[in-house]
Amino acid sequence: MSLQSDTPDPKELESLLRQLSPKALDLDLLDRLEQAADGSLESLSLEEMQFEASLRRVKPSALPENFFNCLEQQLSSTPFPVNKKILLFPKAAPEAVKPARFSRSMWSAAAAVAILGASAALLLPNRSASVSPIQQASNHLPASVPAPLADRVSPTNASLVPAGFERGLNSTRDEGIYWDSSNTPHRVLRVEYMDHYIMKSKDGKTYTTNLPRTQYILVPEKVD
Amino acid sequence: MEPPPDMASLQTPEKSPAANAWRAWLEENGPKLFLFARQQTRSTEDAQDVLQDALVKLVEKLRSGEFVGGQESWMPYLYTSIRRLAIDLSRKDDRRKRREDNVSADQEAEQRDAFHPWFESDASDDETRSQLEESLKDLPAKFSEVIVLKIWGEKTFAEIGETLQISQNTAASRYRYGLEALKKQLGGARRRGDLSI
Repeated sequence: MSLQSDTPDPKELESLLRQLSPKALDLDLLDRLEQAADGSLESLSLEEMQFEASLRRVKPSALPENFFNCLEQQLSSTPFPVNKKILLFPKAAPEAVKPARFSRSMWSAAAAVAILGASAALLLPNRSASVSPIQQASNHLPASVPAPLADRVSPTNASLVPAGFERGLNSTRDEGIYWDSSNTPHRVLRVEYMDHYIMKSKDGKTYTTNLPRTQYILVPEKVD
Repeated sequence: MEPPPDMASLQTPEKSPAANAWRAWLEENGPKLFLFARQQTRSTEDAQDVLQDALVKLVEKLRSGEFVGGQESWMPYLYTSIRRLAIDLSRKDDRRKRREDNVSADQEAEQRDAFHPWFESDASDDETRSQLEESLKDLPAKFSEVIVLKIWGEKTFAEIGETLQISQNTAASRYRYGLEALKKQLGGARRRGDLSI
């Protein structure tokens, strides 16, 4: 087959090209096309699976230490979403959540009882003349509880009446997720108060005791 | 003389929950991502760069709330990002090389890579590790990337197709061609019993 001239006319060229036929597909390609058609292309032979398993036994190298530390530093300031409901925060986990709350509540409860006791003693008609109501109330306090009013007022001379009470909310903070012993997640909210106990003496002086209080509130977190 | 301090004792105590979770995630998934980054790039340094950039992109999207999907979508996103970043880097490098024709820099990069092998090994498997790494590097990239994603990335053919923007069937056929080619390259050493695979 050859061209009659260096500049064949299109018809001659077309005729020549029609005499050519595409080469037959090689067997590998034929197999591949057949497997693609019948959906078995993704199925590996036994030999392929064995080779694949042997390759899998070779593990990729760990990240170089410096590089790992660099990446860790960049990631650690980002909240880590465990799932749609649970997000781990990039701040120190709360330590000993329950015991801290428990002991603080005890102190504040004891102080509140002391104040109430003192107020009740003042209001009651039969009072001991020898012991001031503040001292009486203080005597009932646990020995280790600081007696805020007793520290600030002479227990023998002053006669104080409750003049007011204010609870100030200082701050609230989300401390993240806490998992209890039954593996139930709880969101930990830290609430800081400042309680103000106001007492007035007969001579018109006002005494204020400020008692800071921290409360940890555990709110059960909804999970799927 | 006192023994050197245990590394664990030098770690900052009381890491935040997020920091601990990220560390654990990085320890589990970092090697797979780094292997893919190395397969996609020309040097260890380039692999570190593209992996770091891909992770930064992910956390930026997480922080801004733009990321669609849960944690199960992170790896597909990262593989795709690594690939795109590697392609961009390769184009920049090609342009630079046409300008500079910096052959010695490539040789230095190859020497540095020799100290950072792709695979773990103990003394008995060192030959295996080395042969496997060389064979993967010699394979055409379109085969080696599918092999890396399938075997060490543990991706399905459908996921590989999405990552590489090819059809599932193309991913499967490249994988099987690649395995065959890899077996042939490793064939001599395996027959001699030099390799444990």
